[in-house]
Order: sequence, then C-alpha cells, then structure tokens
Amino acid sequence: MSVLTSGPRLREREYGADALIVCDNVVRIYQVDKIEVQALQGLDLLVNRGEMIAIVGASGSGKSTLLNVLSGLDDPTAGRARVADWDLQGMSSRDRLNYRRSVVGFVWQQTGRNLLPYLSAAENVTLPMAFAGIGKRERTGRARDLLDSLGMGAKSARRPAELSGGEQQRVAIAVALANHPDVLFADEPTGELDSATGEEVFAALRSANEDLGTTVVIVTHDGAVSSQVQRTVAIRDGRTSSEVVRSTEVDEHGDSAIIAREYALLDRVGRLQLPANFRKSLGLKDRVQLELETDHVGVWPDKDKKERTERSEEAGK
Amino acid sequence: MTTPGRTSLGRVLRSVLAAWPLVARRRARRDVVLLVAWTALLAFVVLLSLTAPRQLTVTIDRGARQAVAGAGSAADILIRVPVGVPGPGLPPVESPARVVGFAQGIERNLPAGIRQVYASTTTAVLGTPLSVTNTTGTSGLKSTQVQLGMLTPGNSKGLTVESGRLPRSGTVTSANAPIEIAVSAVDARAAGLHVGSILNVPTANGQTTPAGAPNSVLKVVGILGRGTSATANWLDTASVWTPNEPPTSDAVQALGITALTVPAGVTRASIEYGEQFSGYIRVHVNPERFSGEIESRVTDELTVLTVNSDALQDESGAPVTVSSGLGDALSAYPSEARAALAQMSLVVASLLGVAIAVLILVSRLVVLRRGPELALERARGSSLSSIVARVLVESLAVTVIAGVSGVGLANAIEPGPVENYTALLLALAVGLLASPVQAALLVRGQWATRKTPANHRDRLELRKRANARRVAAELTVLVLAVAAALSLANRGLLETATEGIDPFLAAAPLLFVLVVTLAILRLYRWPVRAIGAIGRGTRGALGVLGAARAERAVSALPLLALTLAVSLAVGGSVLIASVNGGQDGASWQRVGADARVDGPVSPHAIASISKHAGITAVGAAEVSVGVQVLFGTTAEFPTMFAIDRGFAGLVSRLPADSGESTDVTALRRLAVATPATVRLPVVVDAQLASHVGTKNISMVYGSKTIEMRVIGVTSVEPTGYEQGPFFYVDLDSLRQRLQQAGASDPGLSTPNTVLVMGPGATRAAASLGVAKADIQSRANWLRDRRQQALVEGTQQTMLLATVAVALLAMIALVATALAGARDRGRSLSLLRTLGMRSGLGWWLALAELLPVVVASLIGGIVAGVGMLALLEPSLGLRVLAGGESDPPTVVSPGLIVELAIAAVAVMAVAIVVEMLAYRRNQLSEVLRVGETV
Repeated sequence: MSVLTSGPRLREREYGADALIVCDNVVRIYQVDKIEVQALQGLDLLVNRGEMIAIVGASGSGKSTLLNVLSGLDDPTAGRARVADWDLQGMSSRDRLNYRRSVVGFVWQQTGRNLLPYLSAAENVTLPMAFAGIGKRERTGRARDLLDSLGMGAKSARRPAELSGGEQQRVAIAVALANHPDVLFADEPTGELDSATGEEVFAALRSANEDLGTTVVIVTHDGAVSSQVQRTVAIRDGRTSSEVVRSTEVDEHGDSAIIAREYALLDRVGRLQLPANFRKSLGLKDRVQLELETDHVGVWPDKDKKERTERSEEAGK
Repeated sequence: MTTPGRTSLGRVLRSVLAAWPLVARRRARRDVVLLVAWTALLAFVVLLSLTAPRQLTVTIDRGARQAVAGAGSAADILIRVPVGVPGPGLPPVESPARVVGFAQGIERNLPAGIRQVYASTTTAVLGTPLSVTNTTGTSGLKSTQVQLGMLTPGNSKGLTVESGRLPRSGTVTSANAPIEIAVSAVDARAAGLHVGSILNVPTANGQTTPAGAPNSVLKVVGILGRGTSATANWLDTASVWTPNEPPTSDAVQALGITALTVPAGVTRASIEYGEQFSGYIRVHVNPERFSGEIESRVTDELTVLTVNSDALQDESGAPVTVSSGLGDALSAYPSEARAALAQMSLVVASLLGVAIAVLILVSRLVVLRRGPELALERARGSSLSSIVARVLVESLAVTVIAGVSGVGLANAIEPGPVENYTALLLALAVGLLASPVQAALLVRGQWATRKTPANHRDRLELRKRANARRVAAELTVLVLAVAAALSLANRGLLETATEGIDPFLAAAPLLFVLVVTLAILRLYRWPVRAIGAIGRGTRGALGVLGAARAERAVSALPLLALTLAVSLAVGGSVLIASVNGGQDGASWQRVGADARVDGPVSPHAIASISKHAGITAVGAAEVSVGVQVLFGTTAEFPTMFAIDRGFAGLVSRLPADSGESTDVTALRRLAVATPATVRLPVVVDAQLASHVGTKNISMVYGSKTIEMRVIGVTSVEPTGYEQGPFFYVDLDSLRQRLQQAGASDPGLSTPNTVLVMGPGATRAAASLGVAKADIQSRANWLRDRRQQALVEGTQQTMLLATVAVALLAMIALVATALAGARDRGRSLSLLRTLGMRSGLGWWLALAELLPVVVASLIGGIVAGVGMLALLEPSLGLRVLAGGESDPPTVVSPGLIVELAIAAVAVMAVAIVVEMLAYRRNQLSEVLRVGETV
C-alpha cells in the first residue's frame, strides 16, 4: 500500500506537506534503444488543492513525462512524487487502479483518444463509474448532471462521431470528472481546437475547478490558456525554471487589472535558473559573482574575467 | 479526500461485469467483419485439427484393409482339430457329429481383437488319402486314392445332384451296409465312377470290419455338380472339384479324388479302417473391419494363439492348432504404415503449427486494432481482469461458433471420431485465449510502470541480464531441437508408433523452424542494412524510405508463421518428389527393365520381339536360384544369370537414377566365344567375390559339374527381383559346356527371364504368348505402387497440407500487412506533406513485407530441407518408394522458383488487401488524429 500513513507531526517536516501534488527532486531516465534520455532532472513542484495551473515548456522539456508520472502511468527513477495521499513511487498495480479510479481524471489532446467511438456521450461518462463498481442508478444520474453542467445534456445520446471537437472535449471532461477525482490532468486539451471552441473547453475546465473544486493541471502550448490560469509553471531541461503568478489588483481609481509576476524558482538545494534574456543582456555565463545585501542577493558578471578580457583586447590593439 | 479501502465483493463484481454487455456488444458490432473473418479462420483451424489427424488414421486404416484384402484367403485363420470317435483311453478328438457345432461356437472363444474382424466360419472335415480298389470303375489307372470329406450344412448348400442322391445317415449306420459317398462329376469322370460304383478300402492292420468283412466298402450313391455352392466352402476340400495326381512311391501316375459322406460315414471310416480325420475350421476375416490399431492387435493375438490355443478348446478337450497366413500377409504393413505415418505426422504437425501461429497472428491484429480503446478503458479505471473478461466473453462466443462450424464441416467432409484431442483442444484453447492473453499483455505493457534504476551501472546490468535471458532461452530451444533431431535420427523408423501422430516426431519440425526463426531474427539486420545502404544511395526518396522501413520490418511471430509455412511446403514437396523419384528408381529395380517376362522363352521368340516397334533393347538370361558353386572345400548357393549377348547392353541402358549399377564392363567380357575345352568364364558380384578366394571354381548345374574361371567382378546385382549373391556366365558358352557334358535337358539353358526396354516393351512382351501373370511391366508396377492406400494417402495428405498451408500463409501475410497498415498510413500521410504521391503506399508496404517474405523463404527452405536431411532415417522413404535403398532427396530448382512465385503472389494479395482496407484514409484526419476514424 502506497498511501501515506504518516501523522501530522511528520507532515510538518515534509516538503510541501500541505500541497495536493508534490514533486520532490523527481528524476526520470528513459531508455530509447541504446540511448538514455534524462527527461526529468530533479524537478520540484507543489500544487495546492483547488488550484488551476498550467505547465508550459518547449517540446522535449519534460512536461509530458511529468504528466505521466503524476498520472501514475510512469514511475520516477528517483525523487518523490505524491498526489493527495498517494505516494506514486512503487505503487502496486492494484494501487494504480484505485488511484486512476478515484484520484485522477484525464483529458488528452486527441479528441478521438478520449472517448470510445461506439458508445454515446452518456455511456462514455458512465463507463468510469461502471469500472469503479458504482450502481447503475447512481452513475446514470451523475452522468446526466455532469453533462448538463457542461452544456452537453441535450446531446448525451450522441456518439463521438456525431459531436464537434469542442463537444467531444467537453464530454471528455465529464468523463474525467465522473468518479469525483481530486485532480484533473489535461494534456493540450485545446490543441486541436479553434480559439472559440478552445475557449469553451477552457471554460468547462474552469467550471470543474471553481464549481466542483477539482484541482486542474493543464499541460499546454496555448498562450491563451496559460494566461488565464492562476499560475503557470515553466519547465526547462527537466526542471521547473520559472513561475508566473497572476493576481487581480485594484488601483486607486477602482479599476482592476490582472498583474502577472514572473518568478525564478529556487529549488530545495538553492539552485536557481536565470531567464535567458537576463543572462544575455548582462553577459552572464560560466561564472557569476553573488553579493549578499540586506534585502536581496546581487548577481554580477565575473569582474576578473571581464578585466582580463579587456586587457588582452587592448594588448591586441 | 479519497482514501482507499477494502471494496466489497459486490462492488468488485460490478466493476468487472458492469460494462461488458454494453462495451463487448458495441465493439463486436463495429468489428463484425474482422470477427467474422476471425471466426472463419478458427473454424478452418478446427476443421484442420479434426480432418488432418483423421486423414492420417483413414490412410493407415485403408492401408491395413488393403493389405488384408490383398492377402485373400491367406488372411484366414485356420483352426485344425482332430475328428474321430472319442473313447476312453484314446486321445481326445472331436466327434464328427459335434465338429460343426464346435465350429459355430468358435467365435465366442476367439480373442477380442480377432472377434472384431470376424466375418464367418466354414468347416471342412477331411481324412487322409487312401488307396482303394475300384471293383466297378474303369479309370485305367493303376492307383486311385480317395480322400473322404464330410458333408456339412455349409458345403452341401447349393450343391446339385446330377445323378443318384446324397449319402444318407440312416443307411450308413448299419455295419453291413457300405459307406455311402458322393463324388463330383469331374472326379467321377476321371476315376471312371458312376452311381453304384464300389470302392474297397483295406481295414487297418489287416483286421476285419465290425461286420466281419476284410474291407470297408465305399459306395457311390450320387454324382454332384457345383451348383451355387460358394468357393469359400471348398477352400480346404478343393480336390472335390479337381482331381489331383498325388505322389506315389513307385513313380507310377495315380489319381486323387475326394469323396463326400455324412458324419455317420466319417464315424464308420474312423472305426473300420482307422482313418485319421481332421476338422478344418476356417475363420474368415472381414478386411473392412481392419484398422491400423486392430491390425497390430490381431497380429499379436494370432502370435499368442499359434503358440497356445487352449482357449479355443471345447469340453471334448480335443487339441486345437491354429495357423494363419495373416501375419505373413501383413508383415510389410507395419513398417509401411510407420513410414506413411511418420511422413504424414511431419506435415500435419507443421500444418497445425502454422494454423496456430496464424490464429495468434490474426488475434493480434484484432487486439492491435483495439489497442487505443483498451488503453482508454484502462485509463478510465477498468481493471485488467475486467478488460480480459470482456475480451474473453467475445472470444468464447467466437470459439463456440467456430468450434461448432468446424466440427460440423469436418463431419460433413470426413465423418469419424476425434482422432487427436490434443490438436482439437489446442486449436480451441488458442481460439479462446489468444485474444484475451494478447489484450492483457498489451494493456499491461501500456500501463504497468517499471522502475528504472537511477544508477547507470545498474541500468546497464539490467540490460545485460535481459540479453542473457534471451540468449539462454534461444540456447534452450537450440539444444532441444538438436536433441530431438539427433534422437529421432538415431531412433529410426522402427520406434515410431502407429497409433497416431507421434508427438516426438511432430515436435521436431516445430523446434527446428523455431531455431531457424531465431537465427534469422539475429542475422537479418546485416543483409537488410547492406541492401539498405545501396537503397539509400539511389536517387529519390524511395530508396531511403524503403531501407528505413525494411530495417525494422521483421518481427518474430509473422516470421515464425511464414517460415513454418514455407518449410512445410518445401518439406512436403521434397517428400513427394523424393518418394516419386524413389518409386521410379524402384520400378527399374523391381522389374529390371520396362518389361520382364518370367518364364521360358525360345531364343527365336526373343530375337523376334527385338524387331517390334518401340523396343530399344532386349536381354535374356537363364536364371537359376541356389546353384551350388564350389571353391576349394567350400560351397555357396548363389543365383546364376546365364546371359545372352543382349543382356549387358540392356543393363547399360538403365537410367542413372534407377539406383541400379550400369557398369557392364565385366559382363561384356563374357560375350567372347571360348573353346568348350577351357573353363567357363564367370563374373561374380562383390559379395561372392569376397568369399571366393580362387580364380578356378566349379558349379553343379542340373546333374553336371561345370568348371569355371572367374574373369571379373561386377556391381550389377538385380536384388530387386532376385536374391543375391549373383554370378554371370555367357548363355551360349554354358549351352556349349552342357552339350559337351552330355546334358539332355534342353530346359537347362533356355532363357527363363527376358528383359525388354523401350516404350513398346509391354506390348512386345505380351506378344510372346506367355501367361499374363508372367509379364512384369514397369508401368504397371508404378501404377500399382502409387495406388497403394498408404502411398496414395500420404501423397494426398501432403498435397492437401500444402494447399492449406498456402492459404494460411496468405492469411498470415495479410494479417501482417494489416497490422502495420495504421503506422504506414501515418507515415504516408506525413510523407505526402513532403511531396510523396499517395499512390506509393504500396512501396512502403512492399518495403516492410519483402524482408519478412524473403527471410521466411530462405529460412523455410533451409528448415524444410535441413529437417528432411536430419529426419530421413525416421521417415522410411525407402518403404513407401518400394526400392532397395532410401531414395535420394530431390530438391529441384523448379521448386524454389515456384515457391518464390507463390510468395510474390501472396505478397501482392496482401498489399492489395491492405490498400483496399485503408483506401478511405484521409490525409488531414490521419495527420490530426493518427487515422481515419
């Protein structure tokens, strides 16, 4: 059994004890033929219950690997990953089954991959509940409620091929929410959709988050999506590199504005990734000088090296 | 917060069963075409699993029936019991009155196996031939011998009385009255008898009869005609209808006839002149009730009965002796049956192996098609057992339908019991479990995580262990295959069972093909890469694309199925060709030429047939078996061939593949006239040469001794129709020596074996006017041989297996093509965005299928030929060919070409099917979601 049994005192000492999702120095190494790929290289991430966050990153940055680890599809090579009360390392197959049934729900990018083509929308929604052993009456009612809440009640008898892409994704969200999961993972949920339809799907996700209290983690390239969530975590080279936190601020005139602040992330051993444009504009590379001030840490280019370079350039002239 | 806890049994059951009616039904409806195809294939495999072993049994049983039927009355079981007048202090005998009853009850006492093949019983009671004095007849012969036979209800049925009447019991019982007899009209004519004729028989030891007479008197009361009386009733009393000439001590011609009397007459004859009578109870067997299994049982029981027949005795205690020609008639059958069975087992086992592999392949296609949906079900919380249960329900329905259809079809084609439950159960088990197991493996692989060690060295260690496991598994298969092949090669044919498919023999080809497949999987990359390098160097994208796809095209299961199929086709074809070739060679060995005449033929007639149209050579010899040859103080009894001048020329014309030596150099040296005063030149075969230590030898021929001188050794040994060792002399020279020695019998040097060569040989031989039975024709021998049930059945089995395997190979290749079609569709769509024409999809399919087909073609040929080479001693090719030695294995280049053409045709069909199946693919949809939904 991989469920954490530690008491409150122990929790207090844990990294991210109050968070719903905890990734602590997670490493994942793949073997593709004879080549080893280090997809995650000590990634740290905390997601609190009820949050709606987006994870962004370039292709190959490790975001899909992270989603697979959190979904229970993949086992981290090292580090610790926890979702709710489930330690994701070393779960048995039965644990994983229960985890998929009760803790997480998924929405994938390909609309065809989310729904069984030979079942109607309502039947697709009832399926996870049937798999979980829930009685027929309960699952029928739940399916109706979910589809109604996502605006798909009128089309509950239609099969996926008779629905538009956006409708299919909304049904997919209903399917993912069928068993009251703690977290809903969405992998590029609007990737195949136009912006208007994507907006509808995003609204459905937000509804799941706000109305049902489900924590939503979206992996996306879609700037429109990532700008609408409370927090956007960027992943680079298998590590969380920065975070954008959005808050609504009201000025002295009573006008409200969404303020986005980008933060660099300091990991548990003190490592920090500086944004590329910062490094470029200040010529920060190889070695930098740090200066501890009373209220901040100053990062300076390597002065000795700079002087040596200038002298050699003058000698050259 | 969701916390896991123990779930109730009801909930677990609901979770397993709740969705299956909905999901399984809808999925089956969508995939109905695929499922119908899968059901049809499974029904076909069930049909094969029933009919193939049945075909084996039918062939073996037909062989047994044909052997028994061919033996005719020799297959009967003859039970002999002494018949006479029982009395105290006398050896027990069966009384004449009871012997028929004893015969009628014999069936009850027969062992169970013989009882199974029992047809009927005929009874004859015969005395010993006795010299009689004919007081009224006019035979003109110095001596007449009469054998008394008893009229039984069986043999008197259908008789006609031409004159007089049948003997009566009432008149015979009086001691003063003569013993009444009846004789056939033929016997009566020969012996000059008529109704009323009296024959006197001296009493035993000069005593008088109970009536005080010095002789017993036999009186002819009836002359009989055969009427409708069945031949079977007279097998042991044939002389009733044909007078014979029994040997006499004074070399004077005698006449032997058989007279019939009633049981009371037999009793009187026993008492009055001590006549010894024997009862012959002939148990006729029904060939149609024989089978391979019963044959061996009956043979065993007969062996026991001939040694100890006490079980057949009745309360009289009369000793019973049993004899039968059945054992001799069937002596060749077991080895022929084993050879046929071994060859058929080989192809049937391979065929079932291919069928099972194709079943797995097609089920894999079904599962792969559903792969994304199964993964989705798993992602939505379906347990593995739930997924497997749904697939199992569908599989069960398919298996039941296919099983019932297959069994029904099999019974319609070839009714009979299930001969091999293993094959049937294996087919049904694979049908039932292939899809669920593959679905479980697929889903488990998709969602089971395996923790990778963080340490690089540990990961390396894991890889090494996995490689070591693979090598160990491959070595195990290799060792098993080698052990099986060596064991079979050393074991030989005699150890093969005749009761069905020999599992040991059946497993060998499968193991062998498995080894070849593993070797191909290890090696195929190198040639494919080499060819790929050439392809990459060509202009355009096709070479690069083809090379890239070919390098990852070969996978284990399709390769195994196709290699097995090709090896069976090769093995079956080579077996057929080898046995056919062997039969052709054997026909030359058994006949010696296109036609052979066994009987005396005058030199003039021999000279005349050489002028017939279509005759290329004629040779003749006076053949004498067991001629005494003396060398020093030792004697041997070889067969002499006194050959004419055409004999050597004829032998030299025998085809090279006949298996007979055509080196007639030594024989030609005989055709030189030598003076009658010198020793007769003689050529001996190698066997005789090894025994004869001197050049000067002699032979006793007729009553003459001929001095001879060995002038050479020959390898010409016609063991196909005569028994060796052999020596050859010139016929003219022998005749000359015999004349000089004063031999008076001209038959001694008259050719009694004439060999005729050429397309008109049989016709020419027939013109000699000899009995038809004395003419052996090579064409007739071949026809008879090929019509033998075992030979015909074996070839038919191989032919049917080859056709079936071709069909299965096509299904396997189509399944392989369709399994990769989705991936190729995606690649093609991607390539179309780069400018490739959509019509070139066939190129990608060809690039992936060609390596599999070529690899399986090469592997199959290697496996098929290698397997035959290894297993040849266990296959008994010689036995079915009918020759003196194992025929050479015939692998013709034509076979390879035919296989290559067939492979190309099958591949073309597979590509066409794939293109038809995926013709609706839409570029945008494939690019977007991976396929056209």
